[in-house]
Amino acid sequence: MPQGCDRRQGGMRMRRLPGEEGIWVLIGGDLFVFSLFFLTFLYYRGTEMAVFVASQRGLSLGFGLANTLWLLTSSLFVAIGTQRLRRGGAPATLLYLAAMGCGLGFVGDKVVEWGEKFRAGISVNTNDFYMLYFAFTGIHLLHVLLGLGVLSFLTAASRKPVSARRLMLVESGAIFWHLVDLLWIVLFALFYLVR
Amino acid sequence: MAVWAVLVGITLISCGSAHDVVGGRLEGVAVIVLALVKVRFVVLDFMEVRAAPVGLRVALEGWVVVIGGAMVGMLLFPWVFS
Repeated sequence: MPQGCDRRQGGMRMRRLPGEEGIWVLIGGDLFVFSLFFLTFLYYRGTEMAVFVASQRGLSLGFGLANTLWLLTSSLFVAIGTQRLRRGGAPATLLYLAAMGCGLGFVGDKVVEWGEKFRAGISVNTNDFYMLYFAFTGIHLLHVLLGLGVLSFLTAASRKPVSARRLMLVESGAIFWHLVDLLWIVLFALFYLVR
Repeated sequence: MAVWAVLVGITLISCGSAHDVVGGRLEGVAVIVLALVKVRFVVLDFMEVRAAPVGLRVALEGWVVVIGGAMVGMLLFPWVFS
């Protein structure tokens, strides 16, 4: 919905809130909770530096990197698909399906990565690093699974022309999927990259 | 597509050269700053907040600055928080 104007390059551009207002409340709540997760991780890291550094070496950077690329690429597909749907005419269904494929790639990677850890005898009880690793990436994985359900809705909705009301729902779903991507970017940096 | 290429580029830089260019705590700070640059791109371009009402953009960019400042602070001065 138009909520203001922005003067740029000599013209007037309407500012508009993407998606439903409610989705932004959800985004705000999730960002708050995950902010606490990020700071909790750094707090424990500060108190048990040696344990965290040693445990981090046990993580495979390849899995983390692959999962980041899966989600960044799926976000791109969702962003282009939603722009197409808004303009009307151009098909978006294949893009949403491709985004789902990327999301499933993330889940598959995570299953293999966790499987390796469990087979190596590493679990949530191993130490504080792995306790936080399984807890936070597990909660994020739940977001991915919920997001895959949302992408199913987007895929179904995109098979025919959408009303303005339905487009708002599609935009809200897309914003949620981008949140899943955003949260992983920080989790990846904290668990795999910060030495 | 351009934004995606930038995001992938930053990801690869974070994984590859961050460890070689700087050392110690600054390396961690560089990784966090690069992650938050990526987060800002996702918020502004994928979530389309760049063209959203100013209040929403200020709130989300403000969050990036606040959480970034807190994380960098905890990386640089871990003993303050323990």
